[in-house]
Amino acid sequence: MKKLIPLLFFAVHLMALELISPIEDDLNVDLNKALLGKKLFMDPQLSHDNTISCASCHHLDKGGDDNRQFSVGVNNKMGNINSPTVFNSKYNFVQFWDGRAKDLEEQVLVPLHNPDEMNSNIQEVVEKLKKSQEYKNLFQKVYNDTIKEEYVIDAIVEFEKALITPNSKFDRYLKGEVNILSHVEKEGFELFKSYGCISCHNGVNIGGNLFQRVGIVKQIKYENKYLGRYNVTKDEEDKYFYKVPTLRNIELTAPYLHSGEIKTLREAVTFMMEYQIGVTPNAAEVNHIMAFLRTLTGNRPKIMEID
Amino acid sequence: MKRSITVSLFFLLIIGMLIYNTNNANKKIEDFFTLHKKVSNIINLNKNFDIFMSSSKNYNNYDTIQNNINAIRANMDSIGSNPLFITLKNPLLKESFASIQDQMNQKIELIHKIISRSAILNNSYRYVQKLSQEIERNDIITLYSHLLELDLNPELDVEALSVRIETFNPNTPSEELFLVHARIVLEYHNAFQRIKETSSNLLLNEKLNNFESNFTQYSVQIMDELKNIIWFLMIALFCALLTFLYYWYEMTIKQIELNRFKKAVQSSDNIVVITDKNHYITYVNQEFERVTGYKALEVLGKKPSLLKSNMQTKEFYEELKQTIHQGKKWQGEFINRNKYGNLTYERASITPILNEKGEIEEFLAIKLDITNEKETLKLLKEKDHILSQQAKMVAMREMLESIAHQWRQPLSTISTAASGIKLEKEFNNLDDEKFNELMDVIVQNTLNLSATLDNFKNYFNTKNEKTVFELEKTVKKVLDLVGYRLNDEKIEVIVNLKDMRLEGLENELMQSLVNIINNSQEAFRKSNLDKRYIFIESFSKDNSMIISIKDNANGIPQEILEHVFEPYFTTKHQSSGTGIGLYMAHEIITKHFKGTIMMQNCEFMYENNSYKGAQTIITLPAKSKN
Repeated sequence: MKKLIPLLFFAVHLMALELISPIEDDLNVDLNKALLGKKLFMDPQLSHDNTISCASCHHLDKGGDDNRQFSVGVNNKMGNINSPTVFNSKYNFVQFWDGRAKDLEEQVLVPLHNPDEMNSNIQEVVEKLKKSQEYKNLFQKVYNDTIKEEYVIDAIVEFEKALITPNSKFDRYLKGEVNILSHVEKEGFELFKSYGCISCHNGVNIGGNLFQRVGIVKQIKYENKYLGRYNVTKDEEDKYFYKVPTLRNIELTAPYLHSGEIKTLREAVTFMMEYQIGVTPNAAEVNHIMAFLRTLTGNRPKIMEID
Repeated sequence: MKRSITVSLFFLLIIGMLIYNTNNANKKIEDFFTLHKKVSNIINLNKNFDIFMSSSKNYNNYDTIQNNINAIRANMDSIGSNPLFITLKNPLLKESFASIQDQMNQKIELIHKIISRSAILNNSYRYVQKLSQEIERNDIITLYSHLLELDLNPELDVEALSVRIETFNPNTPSEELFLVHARIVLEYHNAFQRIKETSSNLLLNEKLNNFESNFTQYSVQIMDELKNIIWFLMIALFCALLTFLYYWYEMTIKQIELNRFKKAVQSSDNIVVITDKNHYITYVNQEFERVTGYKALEVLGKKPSLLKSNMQTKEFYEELKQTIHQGKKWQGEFINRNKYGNLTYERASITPILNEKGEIEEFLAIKLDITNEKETLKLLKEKDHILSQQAKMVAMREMLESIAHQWRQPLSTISTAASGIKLEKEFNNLDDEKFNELMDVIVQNTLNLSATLDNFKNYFNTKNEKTVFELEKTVKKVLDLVGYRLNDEKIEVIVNLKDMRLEGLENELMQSLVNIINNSQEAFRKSNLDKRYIFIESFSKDNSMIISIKDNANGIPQEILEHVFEPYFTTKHQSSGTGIGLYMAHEIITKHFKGTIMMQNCEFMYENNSYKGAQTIITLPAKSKN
């Protein structure tokens, strides 16, 4: 029995490559809808005072977030949570840090209606859009109908589904280009597995498929009113459980954690090892892991090149 | 006809219903099948969850589980939004599905929690394993093996294990790390077990299985209903088919019968004309076309009056019209004119055909073309006339010959007497006695001549008046007329007559008898007999009077005997006869006296000699005694 267990783990170890899968190359979206969604995504008319668009907090030319600790909404109101990246969000099993939206369709309206974010509502948005002949024509062309709430949501979701960043160095490695990773990067991936990061960061999005507690080994010292999954379930056990974020494009999406209080990738790696695993890695190991994490940066979404 | 249309419509209706119901049933069965497949899918996917939950040490790509969750959600949603499921009339099933949906959401929530704990447990297990191998310490090995047992041995004393971990004293950072992860394993294992228990308390498996079996039961029930409907329709269809075939058969039989009648009418030797109640022609047969010369198309829709020859009176047609419009059958003869202007004679009957209410619907005229008969009759009459003229001529000749014969002797006597007077006068030898004697001879002979003429005058009476006469006297008159000829040829006539009175044209009977005697006389001429007899006898028998005339002239050959009464039939030399004698006798006896005449060969004895000859037997109906 005692000999069987290591064998079991050994088998699991071999399967580790399959724990992460690459992003598909094809878009698999309705391009007309996605392009209309792109236009809406960039349109500040979606906020009450026409100052904020989705793209205000999800910079599409960078990592799909805004690199601030907390985002700034209408009237310069400060939010209380770090904006997650919009890239590859379609692979997340739920949306938001606390998973209160089960999919993108549910997610769209939340920032739109949040008084600290866009402070608008979908009816208002539809009314505004109806004043524009351009939008009227576009909706007529894409949906063969007048502008409606569900079309606005659908178009934005379709665009978000097109926001994937394929062909990162690591994806190409997974797809067979075994020599594309440097020795250091490969070493980093080995450490990523052996330290157990991969326990929570797996799947196509290298994360984004489970909730996890922050501070498994070591209690978090900072005060945080944002209690995570607990906000949804009200289950005492779910306190400090957050959606595990994707590690794709991680070098572009600083600051880190839901609280956005960790400014650099190095700090983040060190933090995670200390609080989640209970180890203190040496600087070389952290460098290796960071080198691996940088290979997760993919191509800019194709949809951004299409007009 | 109406019935067969109804049957056909009924038949089509049932086929339509059958197709509709079969389609409907097919669709429903397909829907049930799809739903059932989805339920089975959910059951299987749910089992995957349970497999995932069975061990806390599985190292997973959690995308797989999320895909499982997505698949379950998709299946649940598609059942919930399935039109068949929405319209199911089974509230129990729907309620049970709603509760399953609710619990499935709870279970998914629990799965999410399990995943989180599973990730931690996996990782910590890996650490305790790795560290227990690195650190050479017995109590760590023991702890490690106990921790491994957590999953496998439910009877493991968790409390004791917890105490052991808490009393474990780490000396190195590695040992500290081991302790940390050992605590985590214990803590999260407990959490894992709690969540697992909560999940199994949902009894989702049982509920799903129940739901599946209830659903199957319900769908079987629905399908049985559908099957019953289709069976019923099939039976109805079969019945309709039988009825249809029955009517079809009946109609065919009727059609055959109708065709037979139609054929009979079409090719009948009778003219058949059908008109509507207003006398417009609706049908004529082939015989009509042949007799009238008009084609059917030429006369359809016209009135039969186009055939009128105007040789019949208005009253005739008026009477015809009245009769048939009273609903009675009319019978009579038409004289019509055909297309080529020729007269045609038609013996016709016109029958009104009534509908079920007794109203006249149409008229059926059946006519026989009797033009030929009419013409034959006319010809016959003409021939008869000629015959009788010829017969009269024969009779006249007969008479003249007879007169000449009978006058010869008296005339020569008168001539002799007159020559005697003249001679005696020249020789002045004429005395008064001689003169008176010779003059008396002349006067006597002149009287004889006159008497002879009177006799013949009676015979040649052409007045067609029926009289009552005595047969005996008639026969005597006949013998007066022809006796000289018989004498010349040494034929002895033996007369044996009963007293008989007859009514009719005497001279016609005489003529017949003369002709019969002439026939015998002719027969004698061909034979070389010494003794020649003609027997004329008469007697009564069974209210009839029979006159028999027989001779001993050896009879008549059988092949001739059959034809003796036919006109212009003669065995005589062309110059000596016309061939109409016996025919005339036949006509007179059968037509004017309503009797019969026949001729046969016979053998008989006379004065101890036997003879063969021909016998003519005339049978006349008896005249009343007075």
